[in-house]
Amino acid sequence: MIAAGRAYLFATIAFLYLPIALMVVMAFNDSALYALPIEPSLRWFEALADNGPLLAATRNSVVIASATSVIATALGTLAALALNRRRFRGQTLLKVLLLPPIAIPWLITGTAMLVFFFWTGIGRGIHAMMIGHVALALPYVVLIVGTGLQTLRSDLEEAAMSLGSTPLHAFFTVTLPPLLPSIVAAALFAFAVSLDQFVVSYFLSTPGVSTLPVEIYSSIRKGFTPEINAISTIFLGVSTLLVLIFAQLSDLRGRRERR
Amino acid sequence: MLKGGNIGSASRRGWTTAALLTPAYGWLMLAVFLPLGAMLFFSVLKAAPFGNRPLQLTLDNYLAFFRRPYLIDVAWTSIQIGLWTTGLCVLLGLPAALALARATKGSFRQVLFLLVILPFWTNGLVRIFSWTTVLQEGGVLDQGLHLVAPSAPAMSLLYSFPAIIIGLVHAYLPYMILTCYLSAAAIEDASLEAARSLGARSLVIFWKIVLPLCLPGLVSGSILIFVPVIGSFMEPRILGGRVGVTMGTVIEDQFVQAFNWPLGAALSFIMLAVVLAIFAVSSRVLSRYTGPQ
Amino acid sequence: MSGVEIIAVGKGYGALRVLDDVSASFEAGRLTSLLGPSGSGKTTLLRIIGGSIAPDAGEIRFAGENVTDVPLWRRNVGMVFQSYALFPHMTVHDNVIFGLHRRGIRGGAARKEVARVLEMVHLTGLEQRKPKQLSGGQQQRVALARAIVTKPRVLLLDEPLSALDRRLRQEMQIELRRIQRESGLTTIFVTHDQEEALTLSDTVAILDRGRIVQAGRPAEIYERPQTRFAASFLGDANFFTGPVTEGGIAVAGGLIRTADRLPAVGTQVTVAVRPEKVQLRRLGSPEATENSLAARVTEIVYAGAVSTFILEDSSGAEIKLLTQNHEAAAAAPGDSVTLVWSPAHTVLVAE
Repeated sequence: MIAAGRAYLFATIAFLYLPIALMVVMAFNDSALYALPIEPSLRWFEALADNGPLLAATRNSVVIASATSVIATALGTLAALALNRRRFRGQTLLKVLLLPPIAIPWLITGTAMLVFFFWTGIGRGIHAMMIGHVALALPYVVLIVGTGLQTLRSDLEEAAMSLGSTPLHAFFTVTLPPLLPSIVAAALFAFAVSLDQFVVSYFLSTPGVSTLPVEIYSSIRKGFTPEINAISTIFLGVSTLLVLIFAQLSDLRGRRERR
Repeated sequence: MLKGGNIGSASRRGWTTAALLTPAYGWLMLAVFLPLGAMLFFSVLKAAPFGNRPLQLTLDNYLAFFRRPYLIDVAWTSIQIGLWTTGLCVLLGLPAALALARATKGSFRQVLFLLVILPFWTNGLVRIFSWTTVLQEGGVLDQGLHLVAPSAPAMSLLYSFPAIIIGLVHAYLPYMILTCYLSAAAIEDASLEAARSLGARSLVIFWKIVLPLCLPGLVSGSILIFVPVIGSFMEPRILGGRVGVTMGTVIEDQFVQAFNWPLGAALSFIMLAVVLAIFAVSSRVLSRYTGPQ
Repeated sequence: MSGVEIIAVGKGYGALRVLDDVSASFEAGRLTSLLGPSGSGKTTLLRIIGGSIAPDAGEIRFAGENVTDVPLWRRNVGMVFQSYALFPHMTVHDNVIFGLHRRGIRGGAARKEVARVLEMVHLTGLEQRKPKQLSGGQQQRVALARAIVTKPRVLLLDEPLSALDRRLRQEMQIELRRIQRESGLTTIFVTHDQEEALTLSDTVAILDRGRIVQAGRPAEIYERPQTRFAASFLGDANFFTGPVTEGGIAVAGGLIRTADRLPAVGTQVTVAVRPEKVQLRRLGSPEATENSLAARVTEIVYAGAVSTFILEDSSGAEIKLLTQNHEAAAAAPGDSVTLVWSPAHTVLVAE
């Protein structure tokens, strides 16, 4: 029974990875066709360097993701501090209000942003996408930092104050340092959320100004070129790296608590 | 963390809390809540309020949904896609979750768990795209078929209903495996041993103990899958081509092609209403199963 | 080194009054225990003295100076928490030096002080370790060192030994006493463990539901409890209730005499007798000056060095007797015996 279970599990994992693996293989294949033999080559990656729109989109993606990460982490950490240290009225309501960006299908949120930004003159483009991405990343940041705060001990600040720290000094010397892994993890998560975001970017992009996922989508719709395999492979590698770093950080936090 | 230490006056703490919360919630207000409100407003307008035409309120956009059989068909297609995807995810995901929870241990289990979750955090678009390479004419499936039966006609599964389902199942399966795994891992070995000692055989144990205990995982996984799927437009377009017409693509059209924003807004809110209804029902079901324990 | 005074301190949360008009004086340089069951308000009182909590009413004075409105971080108190609250991301050295830096003492002078207190708590050599690398007892000592290095005006300890196992606890009690004497700090110690309070304290204050019920030297409080609560919380006690008659108190088994002054005849009173003050008399009749009562042994609880006899008197009430096991048991369950004890050990208590 156990063997059958494991076999099935491996088959499922294989199913999950097969198309992706094929795509990666084709990215390194000299021929654009799916026939054997596979000749390793980097030509599609080299072709990327000449693909202007794709490069511009990539640069936009990275810029937006970086800005999103910084802003969302800052705002989200402040909010998490307020929500997780003292009990006050309306706390549950505020926590529930963080759900819409995640729970509502992005199609609805994206089109709503489009409507509102257009109407109020904020318009579309990089700034609009950044506003949208931060809103989508915020709940995750609040959640991750909030979880980190739960394991923090309230008596440490009191101890610091009994030794002469003002409340602010106590916060910076005693509360913040152990919280840093959570904050960094949240920042990485926000970066990944923004980088991978397609739907909202799609509605807030303009011809000429888009992000990498949107550009990939347009390329697919226009017609297949093997360069898409190459850029997708790079994209996949970066996302995977981010997730692994994030997992390491969470692991470190976990290990520290299991004293 | 939430002790009532009186370090500082109550009103000063109140101000601090408000100051900490304002940036984040102000941003959400600007980016999410006001836009949703704006869209609600748009949905009851006859035409978008750009230009100098007078504003006319109407419920026509909502009624259009019920009046046009075309839209009802599209909605039904969306629901079918949702049901197929969720159903297959349940059938494929639950055994995988059970296997992960009960047939593996320790760091081996952690590695496998990470492997299951990893694709999920990579770009969804890329994963959907990877299926086009497999399913298209001249793609892997086609080539594989020709290896076995060289004279068979060219096969393309792409641009078909099954293609959409395959792509969606592949994209959302990790959700179901994750939620079911969390439920399954919480089942104590002792419960199963006790059942066995009372004479129950494997099938009975599964039906009467394992399945009910996994129900919260199944329900929450289903919600996590069904809700985004009925709103999807990217996957149906890429994998379904002309066949891939869903509520999502229709709404997208209103905003990007037809520029009938009021209609698009109304359809969005109808979808939102359905989503909220699903949440409400499922949370009641979930609390019944995870409540008194 | 300064004495601490609290005057009419009150504190409530909503409808619940945690402390009610509490006044007390804590001698400079001495260790005073706040002893009481959970919910008695002892921890709240400690934290009010420290400054973490503001009282609703009353004053706190350190050496005569009113510090009620001085915030925690300027009050110059040393606090040792039940959980030790060591900063997990800092070494032992950095934990201890924290308070010195806050007071502007740096460099060589600070390091010297750190070395001094670590020596006092017997932790020299462990400066570079992190808290998670230390045992419970060692963490406790670091918490103590950190609190006393700044020579605070008062040292406050909130059940600091409750997380330790029994043996370690007893060792630390002795250590704590030594360190307190060496440093000469005015110390206030919260505990629910009456044995600990008796062992460590110069003075014990018993709290019950937000009020100080009795305060004094351990022996004084133990031998002469003033209320039934004080008598039963601190140690064990046998209680006898009855009306005052000529010469003593009338109870079911006879007359009980006490060395205390009795109120008017007819008043209902209660007296308490400690189990170790009661003796078994098998042979011979009781002295005229002793109190005596007939009883039957129902159970004997053997505890190695001592045994507790549980007896029943003629009215069916339970009486406890504690005796050292000099020789084999003086009686067996079922035996009828005579209990004797001195009127001097019969204490009048308020209900």
